[in-house]
Amino acid sequence: MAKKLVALCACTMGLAHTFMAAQSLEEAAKELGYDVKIETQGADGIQNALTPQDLAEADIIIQAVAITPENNDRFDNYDVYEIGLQEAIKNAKGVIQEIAEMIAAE
Amino acid sequence: MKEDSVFERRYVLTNADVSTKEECLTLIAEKAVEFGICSNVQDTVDGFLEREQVESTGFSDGFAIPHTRCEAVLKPAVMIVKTKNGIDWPSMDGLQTVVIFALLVPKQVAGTVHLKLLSALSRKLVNAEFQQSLLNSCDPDEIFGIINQAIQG
Repeated sequence: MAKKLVALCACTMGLAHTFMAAQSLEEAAKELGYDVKIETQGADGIQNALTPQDLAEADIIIQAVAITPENNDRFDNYDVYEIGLQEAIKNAKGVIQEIAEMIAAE
Repeated sequence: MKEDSVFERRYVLTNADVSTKEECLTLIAEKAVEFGICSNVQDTVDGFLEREQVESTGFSDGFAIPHTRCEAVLKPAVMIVKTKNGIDWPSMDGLQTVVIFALLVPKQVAGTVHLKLLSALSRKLVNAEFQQSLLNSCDPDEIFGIINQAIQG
């Protein structure tokens, strides 16, 4: 079964970088063979919200955020890898690979 | 063309003779007032610059996405500027910026329909093929078509 990657993206204004980061992470994760689900918290509200089941099933949980997201206590019992939005947009594939290596080395 | 459209053919400005970020944002604000998107040039420029001060909205391969959500904006819109010469925006990869997507959103927005159109466009912006098609084209009609398709699709 494919590994699952979930992420939450949220920038300060929720107009541009939230969605650019979400798209970059989604494409990179697919390319690397992950099942992927990405929640966005933008000006249009919360879209594609991550459920408790999503988090429980995930092999990698990423937050690409510039603010403290809403409903953040969902993530309390999980290892969450926090990255910058710019990093997600610029080098999503590299970031995911790096996190996967860190997890493998644990 | 629908009256409430976020994007119109005249919102595409090509061959823009601007050499700094400030000049470019002023051009956008002046046109936005002319088109009835914004009420006031200076407040619109200030709105953009406020966001730029947090972190540059330049990203990679010649693109920038300045945006503002402020009182001066009357209706949601996206405007596109393609510059005659590159601008030091600055960008994530150090390359000069030539294609500028400006997102304009009123402080109070009724509903999320327009916001969804803008978010769809933001997603499209990280697509290499989409970027290349815009870099390659200098024809405003063609650029309008490419972006309109991205917003609708």
